[in-house]
Amino acid sequence: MPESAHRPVGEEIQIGNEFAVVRVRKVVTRNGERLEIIASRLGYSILLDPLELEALSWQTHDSFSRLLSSSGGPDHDEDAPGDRE
Amino acid sequence: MRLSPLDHETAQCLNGMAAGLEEGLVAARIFNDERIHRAELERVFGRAWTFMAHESEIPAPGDYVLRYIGTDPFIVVRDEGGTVRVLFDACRHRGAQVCRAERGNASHFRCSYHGWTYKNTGEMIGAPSFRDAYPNLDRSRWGLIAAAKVDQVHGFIFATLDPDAPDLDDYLGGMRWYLDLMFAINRSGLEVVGEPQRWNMRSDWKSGADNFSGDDYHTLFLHKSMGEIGAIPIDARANMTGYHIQAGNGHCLSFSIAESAEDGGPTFWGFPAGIVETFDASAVSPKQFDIARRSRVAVGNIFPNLSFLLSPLTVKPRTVEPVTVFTIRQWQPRGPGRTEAWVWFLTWKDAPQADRAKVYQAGIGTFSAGGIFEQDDAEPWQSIARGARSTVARTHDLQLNYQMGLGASPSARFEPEWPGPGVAFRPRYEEGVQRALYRRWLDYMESEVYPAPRPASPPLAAEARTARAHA
Repeated sequence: MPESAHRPVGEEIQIGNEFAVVRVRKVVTRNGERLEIIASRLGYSILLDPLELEALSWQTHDSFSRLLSSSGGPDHDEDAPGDRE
Repeated sequence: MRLSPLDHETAQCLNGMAAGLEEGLVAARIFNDERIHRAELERVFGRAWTFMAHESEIPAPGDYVLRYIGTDPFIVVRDEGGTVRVLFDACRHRGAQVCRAERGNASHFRCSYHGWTYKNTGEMIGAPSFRDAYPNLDRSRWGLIAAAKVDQVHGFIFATLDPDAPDLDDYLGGMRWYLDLMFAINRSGLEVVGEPQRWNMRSDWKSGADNFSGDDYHTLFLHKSMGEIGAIPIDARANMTGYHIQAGNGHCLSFSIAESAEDGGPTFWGFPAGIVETFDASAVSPKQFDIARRSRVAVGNIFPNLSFLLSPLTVKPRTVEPVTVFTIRQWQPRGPGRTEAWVWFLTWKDAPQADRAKVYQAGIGTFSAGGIFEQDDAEPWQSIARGARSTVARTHDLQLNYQMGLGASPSARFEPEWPGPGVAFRPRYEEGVQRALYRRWLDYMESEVYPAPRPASPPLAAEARTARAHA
């Protein structure tokens, strides 16, 4: 994949607390756009499309509690139900 | 694959054409006929490898474009893992169209009717109230229908619906060698500039394929004024020197090449020195590089309906130097006597930004919906389709003349020493390329199983002459 396949647009925002810091920015591809969430400290990032973001909106915090059962990311817990390809 | 049987009249027409083609005759009727059109959709477009998109049109995961095989819509998408998928754009629930935008970016597609949702691999993953509505549904059985085979060459993505089709390389046959000499000489590769232009014509798709298989003859007359104003920097009659190539399997090309280097004129299709410097002789064979170097203009058609053109052109001959217009065009059937033309302009990935703008402007001005060349062509093509459904065409079984190059003293010589695959003829006063296109078309139209390969074969008389010379 060429580097230029994703181009950041607009202002990046950062949201943090004592436990985590993430950067969030909008990126455009040739044919559309996504939201990039970057967890710099852990070295993870994901590009979410509008349908995926919409799906986040109807989750409960319990859903996220389940995602956080591997709270350092999949690299830190081999038994965690991470689903990274 | 389940093919509808041919009706008696269509079978008779094809059968008659198979015999007539040996004498250079083509039945006018095939250019506008409901039953021929329906048979083409199944037998040609339902089986041949057809062009879908260039990979540079979908560079990022989730990027997709909506494209067509025959008249059927397909989503051409790069999935999250980077694999290009070609998915029939119909929901497996009620058949509603899932993607309705011509392009976009999505990790998942959700049908607008009931909300069935698919990953961009095509896998069915869910639907509203899934547990209530579908306690027993096996999602693995209800993914979007994928093309039987997908492959690419130089970033040009092709697909076929027929699992019995040969691999793309075998399908392209000798054409691959020529695609390499045109598209591999710059190692940065190709990129589409902007969006494809599209327009509808009341003509048959085969008229475009026929023209780009090597109808250089029409440039002397239909495009005469283009030469007169200097839109193409090569004298029209001198431009007829060069070669017609039948590359096998119905794929054809035509190269304008000067008799000798002393004749001057453009080399490398008129690419400027700065671009020519980026061409890498070691990327292809010396024979391929030599043809590239000597080429002033190249046109061709990959069976059935993907044509290409490389030519130095300008729309303002007095003020703007010619630049190399590099275009591919697809003639999509849209009904009997109806075509939707799709036109892309290409550039090398490492070409300077300023060159891209020039190439795009020259392309738009010459070979696009409003292009000065393209407008010339649409008129006769549309009248071909009108004539094809005329009473005379039916009642008199109107036959059209594709005989140039046949006969005792042919207008073009068979070139036994041609360095590339297929068979070559020189000069370009010759319609063997179009006859090869229609012969392959007949293979697809008449055969109930996947047509056997059809390598290009030298003319019988020429074969005999060569045999005598070698005896």
